[in-house]
Amino acid sequence: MASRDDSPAARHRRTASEESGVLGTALTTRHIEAFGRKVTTTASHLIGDPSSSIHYQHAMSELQKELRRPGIQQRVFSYAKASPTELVRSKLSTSEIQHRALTYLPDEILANIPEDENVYSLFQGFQATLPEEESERRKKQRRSNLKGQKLLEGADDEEPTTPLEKLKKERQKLNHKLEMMSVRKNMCSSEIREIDNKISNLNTMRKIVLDRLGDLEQDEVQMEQDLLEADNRLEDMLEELDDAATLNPTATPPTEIDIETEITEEETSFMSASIYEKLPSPKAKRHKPSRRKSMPIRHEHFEAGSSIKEFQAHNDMITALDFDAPFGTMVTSALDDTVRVWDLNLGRCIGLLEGHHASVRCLQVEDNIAATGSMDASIRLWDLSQAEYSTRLDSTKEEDAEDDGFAFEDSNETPQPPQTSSMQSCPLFSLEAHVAEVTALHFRGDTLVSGSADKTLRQWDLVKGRCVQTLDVLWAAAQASSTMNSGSNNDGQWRTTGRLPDASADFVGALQCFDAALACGTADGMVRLWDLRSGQVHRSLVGHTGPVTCLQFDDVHLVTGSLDRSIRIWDLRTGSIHDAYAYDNPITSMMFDSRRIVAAAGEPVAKIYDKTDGRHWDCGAGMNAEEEGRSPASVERVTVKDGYLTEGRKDGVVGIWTSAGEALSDIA
Amino acid sequence: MAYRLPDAADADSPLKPDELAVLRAQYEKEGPYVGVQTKFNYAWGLIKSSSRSEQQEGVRLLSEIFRNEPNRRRECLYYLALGNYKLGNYQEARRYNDLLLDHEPANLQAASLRGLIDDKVAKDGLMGVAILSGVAIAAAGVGAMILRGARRR
Repeated sequence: MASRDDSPAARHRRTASEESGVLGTALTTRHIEAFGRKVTTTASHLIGDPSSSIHYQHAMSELQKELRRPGIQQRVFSYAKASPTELVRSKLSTSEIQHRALTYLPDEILANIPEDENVYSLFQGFQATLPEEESERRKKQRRSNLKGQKLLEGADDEEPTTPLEKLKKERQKLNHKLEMMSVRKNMCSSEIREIDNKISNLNTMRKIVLDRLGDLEQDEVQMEQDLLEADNRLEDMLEELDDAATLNPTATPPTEIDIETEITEEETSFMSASIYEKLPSPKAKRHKPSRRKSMPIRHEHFEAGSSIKEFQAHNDMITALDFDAPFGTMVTSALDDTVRVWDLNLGRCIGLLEGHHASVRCLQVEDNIAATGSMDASIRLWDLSQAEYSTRLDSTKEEDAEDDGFAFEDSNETPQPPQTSSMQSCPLFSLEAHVAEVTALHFRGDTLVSGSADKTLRQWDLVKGRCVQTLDVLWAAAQASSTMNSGSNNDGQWRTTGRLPDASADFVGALQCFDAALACGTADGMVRLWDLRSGQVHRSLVGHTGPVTCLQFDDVHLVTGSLDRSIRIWDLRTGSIHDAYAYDNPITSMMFDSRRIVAAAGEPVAKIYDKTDGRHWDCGAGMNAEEEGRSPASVERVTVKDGYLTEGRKDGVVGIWTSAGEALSDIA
Repeated sequence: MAYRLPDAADADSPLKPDELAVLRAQYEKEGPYVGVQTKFNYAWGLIKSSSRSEQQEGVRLLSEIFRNEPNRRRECLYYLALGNYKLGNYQEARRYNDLLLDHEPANLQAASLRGLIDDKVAKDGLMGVAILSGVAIAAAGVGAMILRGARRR
């Protein structure tokens, strides 16, 4: 640009220094001026001159046209698919970059685009949701407007004047509405389908988690076994150390605290307030010392009425069964004269309780203690924690008989020699005073009450192991009729039931005690409430027309079942009937937990009455037996605890079901 | 069926705030198990908005729908293209729109959107070229001056 040779040296030096001082660049003012002049002259020549402006404009419009056409533009800008501003924004702003990262869809997703099979498009769905609100608002507006305005508006809308057009418009509108309606309908149905899909998804997830829970509980049992072993070893070690240290033989006599409180105060109500208040509510969590530290909860998550296990426990009719806790230990007895102990978690037989000379008619399991009442008129107690049983070993061995005459032997006093028999160290003692078969028993704490075919009830002290009271039912009935003979009140009298007394029915069908309160149901259909302190009957509940076979009370209600096919729920405070319902066959067994009354009523299913929602339903093998072509025997005995239901049938099969489902958690 | 897709111009008419509030309330009410339609309604309402952050949120929701609902993907492509177009992300917009046109060459709305995107890109491009060339000239001038000044020394 700059020429060095044609300018004088001095001048050049001066201007150069001047320029560099001002601008700091190599351009001189002269050159800028010259450049500017050139540009302006060219421009003015092109634009200003009317003769040449045509060419310029033509060229420019041509160029513009070219540029407007997308084809060219694309060619021009194909090197960058994004515009420069976009590029700048996407590279520099952090929020933009974040947004892009969030919304970026990888190519593999983009490649997978299935055919559009939807009945309506999302946009149609959008329209179907929105316009309704809009039109409503418009209507409201119109209504609020003045009449004159309405007319004006009508004119503005240029409504069709001819009736034909009007009708056509109306028709069009209706068509549109109809279309929208169908879109909405389809929206609903597709939404339902969506929800169904979600539900099935959730169900499969639930199943997976449930399986996981099952595995965990299995592991838990294993772990507890390990813990127990460790505890035992630790105890042994400590004992040895103690022995070595003191050299004193440690006699460990069990402290026999005299808890016989013979209070003979007369009570007029069925239960004195002191006892009544102590009655535990089933809703309150029982804090009993359990052999197990953890509570299995799996069954609570099963669908209500679903089967947990089913197995052939005996070869003959089940006469009694009970268990300590869900997935705990169960004891069953049958007419085949055996008493079996089961591990409910693994569904295995731990062993046999042997000692009775005849079949067991009634039994109860509480924590580790089992009590059995037999047709040989004796009652035996067993300590199930003494069973030599490991969950790992397959110990279905059935051991040789234990000698009886083991009575009054406390497990605390006996050391634990290595046993060969799994159940050898289980028997505690036997209670023998009845002169006929024991048909019902119940124990709580240190008190056991039993009912026998010799028409007496006996109260036993489990610490001393002897009978402390004998209650003669017939004597009490006679007493009641003689003392309360006034008027039509014949409560307490021994009644002959409406039908012929069933020879097979037990004289004492069921009983339950709590502290000094005792309730018993007898073959005459009466339910008598006793006070063990006075040995008197306080109240008799009349209502059943057949022998009472089962009975249970909690803090509010007393529930009884009878061979007259009915189940009656009595109010415990007032003694009046609270509710009653009947089945088709005589009730042979009944038990309730916090929510449901479960009964065995000569059907292949257990009958369940839900107290909270009043629903009757069946649970058991008979439910879908027809389509499976089986014919399960009728249920004879039921036991339910915390929604865990076991039932024993006429053919010796024991079924375990859940009656709770999720409902159990609702109560808590 | 009358029309299954909105015109591009439809995206430029924002909803009234209370209308959008209704859609948002519905969307929030359904929580984590929100239905596709509800989600779309809200997303579309957001895209129609004139606020940039709301538009971005709308595009984000749409991309979620796209991921989770394979049988709505084809439709979603169009809305994604439209949303990105409104946001000025022409590269993305073109990517989605071209994909949609691959599947449905006869789609009028997509075709017109392609035209719109091309126009916008071209305009921005021209402006960009103008700016760039201006910058280039200035840089060249400055460079030349430096060069000359250096040579004078």
